[in-house]
Amino acid sequence: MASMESVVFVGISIVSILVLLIPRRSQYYFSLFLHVFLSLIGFLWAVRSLLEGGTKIFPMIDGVTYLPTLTIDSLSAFFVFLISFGMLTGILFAGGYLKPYRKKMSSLELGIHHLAFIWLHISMLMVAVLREGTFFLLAWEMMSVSSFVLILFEAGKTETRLIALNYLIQMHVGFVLIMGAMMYVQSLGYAFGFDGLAGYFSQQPILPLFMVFFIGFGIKAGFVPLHTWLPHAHPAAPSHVSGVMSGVMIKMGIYGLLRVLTYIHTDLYAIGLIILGVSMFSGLMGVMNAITQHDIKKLLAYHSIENIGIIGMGIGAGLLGVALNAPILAALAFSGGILHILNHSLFKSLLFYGAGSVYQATHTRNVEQLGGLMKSMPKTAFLFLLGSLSICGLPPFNGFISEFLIYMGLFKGLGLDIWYLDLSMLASILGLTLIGGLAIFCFTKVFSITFLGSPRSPKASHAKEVADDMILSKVLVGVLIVAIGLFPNIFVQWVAQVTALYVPDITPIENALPTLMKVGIAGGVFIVISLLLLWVRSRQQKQVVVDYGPTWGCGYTGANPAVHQYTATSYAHNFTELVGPLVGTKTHYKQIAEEEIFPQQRHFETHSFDVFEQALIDKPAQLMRSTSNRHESFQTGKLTHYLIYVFAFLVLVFLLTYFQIL
Amino acid sequence: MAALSLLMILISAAVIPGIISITKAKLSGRKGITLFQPLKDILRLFRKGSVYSTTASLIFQITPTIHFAGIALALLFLPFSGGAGLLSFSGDFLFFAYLLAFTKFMLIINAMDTGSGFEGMGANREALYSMLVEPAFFTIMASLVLLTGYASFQEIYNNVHFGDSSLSYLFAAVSIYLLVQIAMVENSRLPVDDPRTHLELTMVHEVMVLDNSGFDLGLIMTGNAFKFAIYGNLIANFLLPQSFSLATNVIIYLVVQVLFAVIIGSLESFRARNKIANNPQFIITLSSIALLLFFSVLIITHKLILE
Amino acid sequence: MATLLVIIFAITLIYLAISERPIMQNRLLGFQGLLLFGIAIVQTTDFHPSHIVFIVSETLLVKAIAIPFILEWIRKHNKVIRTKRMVSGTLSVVIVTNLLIISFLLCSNLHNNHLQTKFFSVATASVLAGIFFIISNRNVYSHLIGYLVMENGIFLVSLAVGTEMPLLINMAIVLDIFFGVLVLGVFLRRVGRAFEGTDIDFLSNLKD
Repeated sequence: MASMESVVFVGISIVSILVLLIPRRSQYYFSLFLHVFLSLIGFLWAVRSLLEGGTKIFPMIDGVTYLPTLTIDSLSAFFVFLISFGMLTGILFAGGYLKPYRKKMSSLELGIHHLAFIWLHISMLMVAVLREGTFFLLAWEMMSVSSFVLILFEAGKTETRLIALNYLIQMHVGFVLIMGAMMYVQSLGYAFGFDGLAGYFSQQPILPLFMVFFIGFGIKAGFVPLHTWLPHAHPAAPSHVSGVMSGVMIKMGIYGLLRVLTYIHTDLYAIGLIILGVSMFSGLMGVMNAITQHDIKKLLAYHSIENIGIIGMGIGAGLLGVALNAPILAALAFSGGILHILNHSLFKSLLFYGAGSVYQATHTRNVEQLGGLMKSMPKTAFLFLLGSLSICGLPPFNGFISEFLIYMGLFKGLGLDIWYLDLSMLASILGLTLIGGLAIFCFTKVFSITFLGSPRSPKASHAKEVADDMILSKVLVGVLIVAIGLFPNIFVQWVAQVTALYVPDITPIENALPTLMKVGIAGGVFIVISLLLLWVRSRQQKQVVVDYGPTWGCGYTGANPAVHQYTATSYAHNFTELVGPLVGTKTHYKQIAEEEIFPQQRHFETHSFDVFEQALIDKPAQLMRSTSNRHESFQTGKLTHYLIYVFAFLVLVFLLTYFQIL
Repeated sequence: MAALSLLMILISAAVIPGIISITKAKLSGRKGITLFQPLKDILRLFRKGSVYSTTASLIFQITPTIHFAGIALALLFLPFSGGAGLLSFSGDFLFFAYLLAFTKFMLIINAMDTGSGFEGMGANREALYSMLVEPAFFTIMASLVLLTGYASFQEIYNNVHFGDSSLSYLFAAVSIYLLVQIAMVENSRLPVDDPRTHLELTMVHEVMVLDNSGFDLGLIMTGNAFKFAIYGNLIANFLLPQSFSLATNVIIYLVVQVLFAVIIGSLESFRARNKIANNPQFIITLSSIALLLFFSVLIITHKLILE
Repeated sequence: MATLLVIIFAITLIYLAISERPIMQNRLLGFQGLLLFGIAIVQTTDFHPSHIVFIVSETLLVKAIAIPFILEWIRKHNKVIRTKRMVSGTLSVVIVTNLLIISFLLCSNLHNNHLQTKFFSVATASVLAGIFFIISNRNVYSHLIGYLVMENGIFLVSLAVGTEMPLLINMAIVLDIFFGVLVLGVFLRRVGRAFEGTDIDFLSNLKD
């Protein structure tokens, strides 16, 4: 089937290199133009798949055999929509964000950045629609390399370079695992790529190969303990890139996992349990670590890990339902997980754009230096509040809808025959509850300390509202967030088409639609009641005396009001004391001794680290380094010594052959 | 029927704060206030002007209203004697729980907006305690869903049967006990928080709403009364048998709500406040007992066979 | 009925985990004795008067009344007002809850005609919880409490294993309890006077 848009697609990929030749001022508009076209193509594919259903297979350009064929089924269409919307808001935000950098960076640097951004978009679209092994792996690699280039935006700093290198290495570890798995499948005689998996999984043992794919794609997605690159890469990258990486790119790891799962129809019990367990662990670890962070973007990165956990819990519980023949559990939990993919990309990109606006206005990401930004940046603050409320899964926004679906699946799964499954359902429910509660704890902290109260440093007091084009992208996302929250049915019906690929019976979703409509109505009623009461209040306020005065400080009149506000560390202290060794925090402080009558000036510093990174990467790396240091004495630099080594090796080989060991 | 449910809750909310104060006063040998004094206080607050902090922003002014709107909406979910509330659907208890969490979020940012260390401290503690008590509530709901097979408030209360085995009496007794404790924690009463303490460093909820005045304070106090009535309603519905007539059920309901208030007053009079550092373990104990409750439901439904 | 009582017994174990004051622990032990009395009465099938007298005397008189009385006397004489813990309260609750869950899970797989799993699971949990109390508390007095919790658990095991109460086992338990209470009660005072208090750190001074 001929496809005009794929021809345009190829055209765009070739034309994109021209961005390097355009002067700085027009680079952004050229890039925006290309992105809008790519997004339009993506939307076209997604809508066509939604309306017509089924799977479409067509070559990229008719008649050209060395270009791959594109296969779009409902899963691919869903992700294509996600990528298109995410990148569109990303490039809209990037306009305002990159403006200050135009004076500082050269045309080549900005051009490379824009080129990498366009190629990230292209490669992600390719990952979603290609099945054939070589091309898929090529697209995957392009995605990793383009994001690597994007992270290196401020390559002048050593730290950024190290972080980008860490990211590239970890991505390649995942790539090797995926490539190795596909090559293994090919060595057994099946096709190379996803199509070969169909034959493999019907005849060979499923679990080992699935685990290899899980680890490979899991590094991209960010499951704990494979997540250690996330909290470094997201803060180091500029905000439009972080928003897109967190909102869209890590979902490609989930896409890979889901694509592999479309071919697996047996052995789902073990797989479901494994995914459920790992995801619950990721969710809890992610949000617990988020509470101890003071860098806004690092905190948001940990929340991405938490939400990947929630998505995984939905998918795992759904697969468990399929294995146990519990259609309600399967359909509802799975749909909840898939809907959460869309929801998370929305509110996470909103939050990252908010953090980017804050950074642009104040030049710091450290929450302890911010405060009082509500008055200087009200639009950003309200949109950030919207994002916080939806990421905590609170009604009437979209986060509640996907969590509602997962919860309903789990609660309805409580009636199964086997009682230890009831316990695992309860454990998942409690896990979700704790994750939600911890998210509320964390986001009240972030929002309050960043935007409310008084400014804690001069950087915060001199902040000004950001330009309107940065607000526009956030508003677009906000509209979709509210729309999914109030009118969930349309989106859930679309998600049901994706769920149908995995769950044989999706009638529970149709049965749940009236309930979801009532949820939407209840949300709407909430908004109406709030607005009504606010109107009543404003009438009352006009009739009474309203006065203003400083916050009551219990008699402390001398100090700067910002000094005795609550800090982020104090807010989190409550919680970090409770969980202790699960999240890593180090405090550098010398206590005041009893004998010290006139205490000297002191310095207090807390420092948080990732327990998994320390145990899995830092300690082994140090061990390797110390072991190799001990063997350093063999490298003396003298030629005579090296000749002795060669001679000794020859003698060894001779002796081994003599005694017929070799 | 739904309107009757709402009316019952409003009546209970009007009298519960008064009854709690009167009980505490009588048990300490004091004269105590009249029954409707708290109601008159709230009405007076609605007519008063307000003082706002110069540090606070728009958030401070709109959050108490949204908080109250959430609680008012939560009222509409509650059933009464077999009939549904105004809003009822499968899974409504999830919306209910998360709506109450939304109202907590609003109060917390309201407190942090003043830029006062006291309010920050109260908000922080409140956030931690409500997070720790959520699993207890959800475990109780999971036990109820497992026991009855339904997932909306109305259907659950319609289908809870006692007398199948002696364990179901245990279930009712322990869940009522837990609901009373959860109500005390969520409304920030003893032993988690003392509403009568005047030292800010020992307060949790009271210091969180310190800076609110006038209309906002009236809304917050009304919200508190409603929350008591909500938990009283949840408990009372356990004890309303289907077989009695509507009028009898109304009387039983009001009696249970009054008893609930008296019990809270008595518990408050005879307990000391926990050391603040020991509060988390107290709240986690509630979740542990709720977990045992879940096990007993597994036994009742014959999934866990213990001879 | 017996299941109800045994689940209330499990709840008292959780409250023992968070209690810091020995007065509360004494009362909980007394309450546990009362529950055991209820379980024993409900379980007896042989209503021989001597049997009834023995049950009543062992559980009600000894466990529910005499032992808390003696414990209160010991506590007052040694002026033990609060016991400190080596693990935080939160962690103790979590550990005791996990012990209960693990013993429920393990015992549900046991299918033996002669074993009543509803008692056996809580009994094993009680023994393990008693050991946990002994390990996690800093005061020698709490060793006594933990020991008594273990004895309650062993009593429950004897209920689980047979419908009748073997006379010999019960005599042994009563003897155990009396000696434990007596020995610890008598020597606790001397220990307390020899060192500056009953904290177990002081006992490590006994090392050569």
